Amino acid sequence: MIDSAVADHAAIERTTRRALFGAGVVSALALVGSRPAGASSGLSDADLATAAFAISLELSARDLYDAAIAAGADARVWMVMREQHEAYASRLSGITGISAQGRNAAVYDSLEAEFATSDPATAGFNLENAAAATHTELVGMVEDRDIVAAMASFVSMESRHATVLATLAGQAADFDAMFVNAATALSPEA
Amino acid sequence: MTNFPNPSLGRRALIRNGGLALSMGAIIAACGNGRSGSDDPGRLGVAPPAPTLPEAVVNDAVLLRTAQSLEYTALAVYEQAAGLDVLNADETQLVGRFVSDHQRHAADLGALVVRAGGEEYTCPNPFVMERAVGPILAALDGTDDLHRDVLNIAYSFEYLAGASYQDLVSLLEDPTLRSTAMLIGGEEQRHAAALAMAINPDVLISPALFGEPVENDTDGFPVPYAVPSTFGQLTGIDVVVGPRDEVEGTRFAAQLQTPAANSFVYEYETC
Repeated sequence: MIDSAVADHAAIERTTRRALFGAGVVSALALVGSRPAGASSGLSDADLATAAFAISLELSARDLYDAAIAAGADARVWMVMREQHEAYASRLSGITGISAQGRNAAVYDSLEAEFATSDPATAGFNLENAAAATHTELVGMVEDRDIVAAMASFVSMESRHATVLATLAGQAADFDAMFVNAATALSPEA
Repeated sequence: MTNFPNPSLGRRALIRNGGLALSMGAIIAACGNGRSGSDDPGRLGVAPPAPTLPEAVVNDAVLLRTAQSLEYTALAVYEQAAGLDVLNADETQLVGRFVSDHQRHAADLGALVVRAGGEEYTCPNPFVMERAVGPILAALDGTDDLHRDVLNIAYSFEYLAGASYQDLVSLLEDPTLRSTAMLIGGEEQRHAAALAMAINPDVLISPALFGEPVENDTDGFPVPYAVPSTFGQLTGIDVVVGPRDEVEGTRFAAQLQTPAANSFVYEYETC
């Protein structure tokens, strides 16, 4: 059965998000500033800008979990979440040659207060969904297959993270929260 | 005894000259005109001619048809599981949601297949059904814990579905098809995480992420974790089910693999 309504909706949503990202990627290139020597990898400027934004997002996630740990979130799961996101930034850095050093200040600043707690399950759930939604969007924008494969891998795990954190946040009975990503993809202006 | 000496034609000379004559004959025959017949390589015996295989092009439509077939494979597995009547009320509710999600995914993929210029494939993946689902379900006969086996099978196939999308997305030529496909892949991974938590609720994160060894449980079953690794893995997914063999002490084991040349649903294939 062909569900054309679903397809049309998806197309409209994609167009809207694409417009959002079109502006965002330009900003991401500025965010990176100068491209390091190691970035002469044959990747297009658009792919490098997209990857730079993704790296900054992952580093923001790492730092947000660090904020929670500093606020008393001492369960091992939070350290694992921190390490996971740092690994994702490193992976993209390895592919592109872009330095994995700078977090996205806008993303971090907007969520820092929510993570300043010993139980950041709900904040983490929202963040994981946002990260997964963002990479899901980005795989449709980049050309380089290695970047696509890496981002798809992130989506796989961030989706699992979200389901685990939904459970820790007491939402296990809410199947929509558990299994559907309702988050909007982030852009550098978020 | 009478001898017949022939000094002009010794044994060695006979062999040499005979060989020369045969070689010249072959060369002359090869240079002849008006030869007809098949140009195929020579064949011995009376075996039937090799069949002409259809052209197997792997394009976006094929990749998406394959993904669609995996949705129908999951539905077939759940249909079989429902018939076994071993799940409790919470698990039945969970599986009911998964069935609904897979139906939605199959429909969404159908739209993507058409967008990619192909025809929908609305039935289970024949290779996976024959090589994996069939043998795994057959191995349940005489099992010592059907409930355990059904949950492990469900986990494995959800994991396979999620990993398959992760793999296929990077193969799609048209970037505009990737996001919708990966959105579905993320949902499959969520299913897998929920099943891992149902099977193994006390340990959500793989010991591998703490630098510790990952081992099967004391009965030899792989232990599912809601967060099994740092990156999404595309390696084989081990499934162990059924009764323990009385002689060797082992159980039926299979490994699920993400789609490849032998399990792609090519455009010439129909349900």
